[in-house]
Amino acid sequence: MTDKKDFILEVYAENGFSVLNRMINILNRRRIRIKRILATEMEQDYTRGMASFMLHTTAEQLEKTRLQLEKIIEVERTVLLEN
Amino acid sequence: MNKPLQKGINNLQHNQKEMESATQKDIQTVSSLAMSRGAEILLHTLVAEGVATIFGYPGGAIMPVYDALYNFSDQLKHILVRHEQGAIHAAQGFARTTGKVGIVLATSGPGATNLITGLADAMIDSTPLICITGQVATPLLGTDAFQETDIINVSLPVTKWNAQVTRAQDIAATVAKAFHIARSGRPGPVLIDLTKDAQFELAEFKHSICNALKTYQPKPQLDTISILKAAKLINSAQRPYILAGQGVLLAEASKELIRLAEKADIPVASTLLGLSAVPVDHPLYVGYLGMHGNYSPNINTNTCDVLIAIGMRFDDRVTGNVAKYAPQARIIHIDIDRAEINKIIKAEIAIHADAREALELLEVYVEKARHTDWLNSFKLLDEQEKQIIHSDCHPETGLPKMGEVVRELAELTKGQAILVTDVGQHQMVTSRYYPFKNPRSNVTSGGLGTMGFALPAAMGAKMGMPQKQVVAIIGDGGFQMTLQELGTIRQYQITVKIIVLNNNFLGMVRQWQQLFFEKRYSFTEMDNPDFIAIAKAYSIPAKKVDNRSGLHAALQEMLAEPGPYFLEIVVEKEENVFPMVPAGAGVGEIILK
Repeated sequence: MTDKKDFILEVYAENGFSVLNRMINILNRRRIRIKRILATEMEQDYTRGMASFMLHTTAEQLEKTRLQLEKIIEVERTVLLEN
Repeated sequence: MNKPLQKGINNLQHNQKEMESATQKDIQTVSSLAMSRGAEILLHTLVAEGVATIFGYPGGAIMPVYDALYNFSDQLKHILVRHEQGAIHAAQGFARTTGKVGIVLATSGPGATNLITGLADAMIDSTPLICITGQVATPLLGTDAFQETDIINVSLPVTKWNAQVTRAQDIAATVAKAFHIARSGRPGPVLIDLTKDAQFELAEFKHSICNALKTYQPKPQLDTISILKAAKLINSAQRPYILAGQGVLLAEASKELIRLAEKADIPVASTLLGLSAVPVDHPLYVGYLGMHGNYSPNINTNTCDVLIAIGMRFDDRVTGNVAKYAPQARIIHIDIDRAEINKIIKAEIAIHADAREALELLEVYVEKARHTDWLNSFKLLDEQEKQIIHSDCHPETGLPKMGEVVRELAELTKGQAILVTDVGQHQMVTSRYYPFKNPRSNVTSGGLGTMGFALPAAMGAKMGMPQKQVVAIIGDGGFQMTLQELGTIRQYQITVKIIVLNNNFLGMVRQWQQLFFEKRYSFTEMDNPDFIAIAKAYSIPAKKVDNRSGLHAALQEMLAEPGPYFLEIVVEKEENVFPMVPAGAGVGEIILK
């Protein structure tokens, strides 16, 4: 048995060059399974964007990774939605 | 113009506007109504940011910048290295000793990819750098043009931030933003990729110092409640213990750390990169932590009752087996990088803060105390290590030993030199035996363990601190990875003293093969060239020593030489570095032989 489960993590960021790649790199490097990605720019302000990830991992690993994602210069905030 | 590119440009414009609004109150603006080429704007911006030294290597895609540099030679000293890796390690040495941002120029393609090792090294060791790479012209992006590589994506995991600039008007703001990001918070390397058309394009030069960005909060708000809790815990401790990391040096918090330690009588140990934060001869300094560190600081990690980790990240070379790391201790962790807290070792009290701010406040609330028995326990353990120290530093037979060389050097320089080490046995021996007296006097590749680091890093250290004696200690393996930088040393007469400790082996790997792989020396013995002839080919005075009697005089001669000097010392071929925490063992299981 594993304590891994699905989480939805939303990452709000400036819509900069390669920001999405930085996010995916952080997840891949930690071998976190990405079950779904939805990335979009904000309708009212295309300079901002949001990426929503469905991730299969442990709560502890997710928290550590969330802090790494928040270190990306362009990232404004992350929002975690469990299940 | 394609849509993603347009979006990137729009975003840069947005960033520029944001920076301008964020820094209105303390803005320092330099501008010229005359139109300048992008290349000139870049150099004007570097000058405006206080840059005086650049390390670089020209090539096709960065030629406009080099052409402009010709007219900036009275303001910007450019050091032409012999390989881009040399440029970035030199910039690291410069940054580590001065605290300033190191600047690197390189061309596109191979010039840019040659920076990757240095970027990774700077990223893991929190070194502030700005690397400016040339890039093919915007219309050629993505066409596999000559010397085109996607350096933005290649450098992504090894940069704190990177950006590609395709318009001259965006250069100054992007560079200003890069400086802010590189040097603030937990410092790190930044890469700016500058297309050739942007370097040629005309624009107005307008530069403002960037002090704030909307989405980036480099300096956390100090939480007084956590400080009070930490002080209470320290005040109740019988065996408190401080582990000082590089964060102390980066925050320029050495004095604050010493004041706290002295007030509460707390022993201080150092990580590899934290070395020199506390003078080695301070009575509360107990040694260097980690796999090849001192005996007592490792053993007592597992006997302290309160462990106060400051500006360090519990690297695996420090912790050994995490499951066996300080299980008895209540842990306080102070770090400016929130992601480092609870990453490896769980902290009972986490203080997300700049080390100096945290220490200043902690000192106020920590009570005066005496921990005589606890401090004596370090001294008792040190006695057990002394046999090794004596054997390393005062051997009577055989070839000179590494520890003996470092001891002689320490006596001659009185611990006042800046020591730049490469990676391997000599690095561990130097870290244990050199009595660092001043902050930022230890430069080494810590996290990445980059062989070939020391020679170019020593050049940069000397450029940054010309009044200091800079000595590079390198193994014969690492020296051969970047020895072409002897050409740079010769051209600019950079007064570095180079000691190669030659055992004709990749010594640390050989040691592991001996201890853990049944002495199967698989491809670690080296048939070396005549190093003296190489140094002399570069017109660098050189000497080889292979006996104990000539060692002291040779070191004296090296230090007295007004220019660069190369000293090869033939050392014991199969010397092992002890103490040692074997792989998989806990720090309490450190072995003395």
